[in-house]
Amino acid sequence: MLFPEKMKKISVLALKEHAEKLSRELLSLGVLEFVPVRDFTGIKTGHDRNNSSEWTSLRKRVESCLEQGSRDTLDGVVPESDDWTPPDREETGRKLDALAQEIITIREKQKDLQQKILQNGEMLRYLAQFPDSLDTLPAGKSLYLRIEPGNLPASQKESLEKALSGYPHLLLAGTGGKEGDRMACVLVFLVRDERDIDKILTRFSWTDSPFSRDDSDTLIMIDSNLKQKGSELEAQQKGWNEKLLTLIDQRSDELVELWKKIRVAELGSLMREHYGTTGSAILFSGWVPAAQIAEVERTVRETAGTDVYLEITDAPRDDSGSAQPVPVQLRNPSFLRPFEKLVVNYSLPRYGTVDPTPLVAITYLLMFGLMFGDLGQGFVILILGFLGMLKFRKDPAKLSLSRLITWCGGSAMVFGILFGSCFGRGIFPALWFNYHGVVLGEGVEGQAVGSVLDILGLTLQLGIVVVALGLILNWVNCIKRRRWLEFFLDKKGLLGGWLYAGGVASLWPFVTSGFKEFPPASFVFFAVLLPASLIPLKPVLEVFVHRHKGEKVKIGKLMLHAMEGVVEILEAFTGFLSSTLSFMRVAGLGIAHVSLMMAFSQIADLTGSPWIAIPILVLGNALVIVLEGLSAGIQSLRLNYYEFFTKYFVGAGKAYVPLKLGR
Amino acid sequence: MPGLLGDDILHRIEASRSLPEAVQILSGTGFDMVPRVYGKTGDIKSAEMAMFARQVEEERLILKFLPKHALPFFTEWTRRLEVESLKAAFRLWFDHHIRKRSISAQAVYLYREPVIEKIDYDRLLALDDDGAILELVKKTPWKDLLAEQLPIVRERESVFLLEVSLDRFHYHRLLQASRKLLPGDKKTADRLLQTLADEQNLLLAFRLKNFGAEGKDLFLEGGIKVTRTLFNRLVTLEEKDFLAETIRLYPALARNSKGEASLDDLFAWFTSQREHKGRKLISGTPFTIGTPLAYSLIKTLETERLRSLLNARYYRAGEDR
Repeated sequence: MLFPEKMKKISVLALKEHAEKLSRELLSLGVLEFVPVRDFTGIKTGHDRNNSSEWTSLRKRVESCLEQGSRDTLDGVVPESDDWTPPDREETGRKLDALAQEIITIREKQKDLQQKILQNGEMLRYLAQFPDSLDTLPAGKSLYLRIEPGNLPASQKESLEKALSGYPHLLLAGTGGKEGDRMACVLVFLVRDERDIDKILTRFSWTDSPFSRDDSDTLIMIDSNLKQKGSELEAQQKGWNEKLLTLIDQRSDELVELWKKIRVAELGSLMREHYGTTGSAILFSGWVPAAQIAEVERTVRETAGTDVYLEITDAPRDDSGSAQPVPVQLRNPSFLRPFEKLVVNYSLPRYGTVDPTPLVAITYLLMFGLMFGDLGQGFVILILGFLGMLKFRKDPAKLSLSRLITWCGGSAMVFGILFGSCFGRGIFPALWFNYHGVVLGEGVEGQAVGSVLDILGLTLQLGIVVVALGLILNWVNCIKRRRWLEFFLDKKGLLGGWLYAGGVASLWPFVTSGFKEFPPASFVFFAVLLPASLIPLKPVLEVFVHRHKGEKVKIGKLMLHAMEGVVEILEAFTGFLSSTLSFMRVAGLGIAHVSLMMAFSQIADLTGSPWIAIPILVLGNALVIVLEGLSAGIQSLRLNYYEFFTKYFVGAGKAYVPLKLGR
Repeated sequence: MPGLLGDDILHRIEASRSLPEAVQILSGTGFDMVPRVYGKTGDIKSAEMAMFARQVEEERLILKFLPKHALPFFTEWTRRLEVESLKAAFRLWFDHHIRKRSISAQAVYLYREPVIEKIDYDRLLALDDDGAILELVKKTPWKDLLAEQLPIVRERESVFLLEVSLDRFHYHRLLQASRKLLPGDKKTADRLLQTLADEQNLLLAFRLKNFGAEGKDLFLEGGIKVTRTLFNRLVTLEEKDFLAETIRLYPALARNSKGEASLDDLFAWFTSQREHKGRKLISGTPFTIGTPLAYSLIKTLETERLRSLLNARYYRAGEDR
């Protein structure tokens, strides 16, 4: 849990005839992350690159078609390992082209409809700007819209509609009834089209009719007809949308099957891409988690029989500077995943170094609780977290954040019980110390935490523990990577630990005595000055350690490194001091949280009316939950990243991504 | 603020086999309004309009968060989107009133919301009288320019000079606004404006060949590489000599185009230069106008590239049919 999964490198030399079967078996296992085979001359690599990219492009086409359907049909789909026959690429392409054409045909219809919807909307917009009475306008037209009453031979109506189809218009027939073989109509169209439409009307023997005051309902009628036309067009548009969804859904089973076959072919190609080949043999190499290496070895031997040479090597202790870094797979239980995200957000730990996820879970929640200890408010945060978890089940990033919020809510509740605080009020006795009482100056004499200064002291102690833990983790990293010079002489190594412990031991009695008692000079010399004066040793010794064979050490270079060492002394002092003092922000935010709640409580009490007091308290609590909750979350993260991680964390790890069946 | 697309997605769109597939690639990106609108309407022009609306919305949002001293410059910078709207509106106006063509199919796609100034585009499209148009824009900075240009549009039966004038006027306003910036911001803005002026002058010189002496007046001050003398000479050159001269100015262009530059290469070159400038700005000092400016610049380039890729896909599909 405290270190990433142990990795082993497997290198296999097998006969070419086994390549296909080996690919299948290894893909089914899904634990091998390939590394490029470049170390040997006479070996060709990447020969199947074009092939795999063509499969990838086909797969993406299928995914693109499926995404246009009504559901995520590829969710959880894993290609079966028993069917490895690749589909006919040209035939697949033709099938997808045909489907794309069907989709385009529907889209084209939708496009035409959309244009009509927009034009209808434009007419409605212009109609809204029309004066209330038609007879106030010359010839029934505004700047944008013309309303033309008239009549035409009844038999011509449909042909007129057809001729007008290229222009936004509304033709209302029969408002005045039939006059012999002529039909009374009202035509509505855009003024900007009148040049063309007038010509059309002449062609269809249109005769204008005068407006009369009896036509006062015409505008209302036009409005309702345009709206109705709009609704009909929208319904048609929806209909085409549904047709498209049905088309995709009907084909989805076929497409999913196709996707599985293409994916297998793509993965097979990708594997072959990683094979180095000679005339008759293949060579490949990759990383496998140590726990699965035996299974991989067995599979390879069973598949390739005796015609195989197999080599398994341990991952190097320290892969920095290596062209092929060892991939990292963290192995934390699922309940620690939100904290793992926090760590990875900073950087993925380098292979073989400490993965601080479990420790971050403890320090993060400890700091959050100390800054935001309240049973009631914690409960609200917990509920919000749970609701988030329910809502964002399919969104990994938001789900993880919701889980973190739930954890924070739990921490706030625990510390709320310890501090005796619920929604900013002391409803029950504190199990540890009454934070509100201490901030108010009502702390109990003789208790471990009886004043604000005690709270500050408490957080400083937390800081010392966290910084010391950071140093110990750095020593572990140094030992694991066999970096002895850093382990003994670095400012974060044993020497730094000596200096930090000495510094704390010298300052603590001075502070606790009320700044009256200095520690003895001899103690300060051995505890602080001696380790500090040894710090420049490391940069100087590095000159000898890292020099090339036979290279002479120049005095100038030595002096330069000694100067660097002197700067490191200053850095060590300021670094340790600022890191430790930085934890006082935990007290600061905790006190601010309590003070804000006390202020809201007092304002509520002053009102004297529960009808005013309750909303004030609710609002105050809501404000504190949002603002202080956010501050506490950010500050906890900041302290972890900048005061804890900087002491030991080795980042820039490469994530372990094995080739396996699935998306 | 939605993130930028990156080359990978643009390449995938370029390689896609149909418009629906190309559009689908944009799902889950900062341009997810394109698949959303296209999925609902099947209309790529509606999707483009939504894309433009988002761009305006984003830039107006940036304006809300800028400090006072940077506001006038960025307001002018955002005004380039208004220039785009105005150009589109006058192209439609020209087609309708001068060329006497029907614009009903295209007019629905005109972006009518205010970018900086409130302009009644419906009215503008409907009005034929210059005086009425000028009355419509009397409270905007565009009034004098339109008073000068509208008679020219009618006389020459072309909107080209009007479009160039809109760009020039916008550039001058940017220059003026940059003078009020804090020194650090001014340096950033000046560098960008110099590139824009050079680019504008070079492209103008190429397009202005038919305008003779009149075209020479359209030179934009403020560039570094293209001086007025060079501009006046470029206007008179044949295409081959013009491109040779351009390569002399920008040797890297020759490297990109194997020694023979075409006008397409020239456009592509300037696009890449603007993008390069944007990326450089974004990695520069934060807390200057460079960061929002770079975002806006790169986003605009991506939007332009995306629009042309989607259109190419659409028209190619039309040819296939």
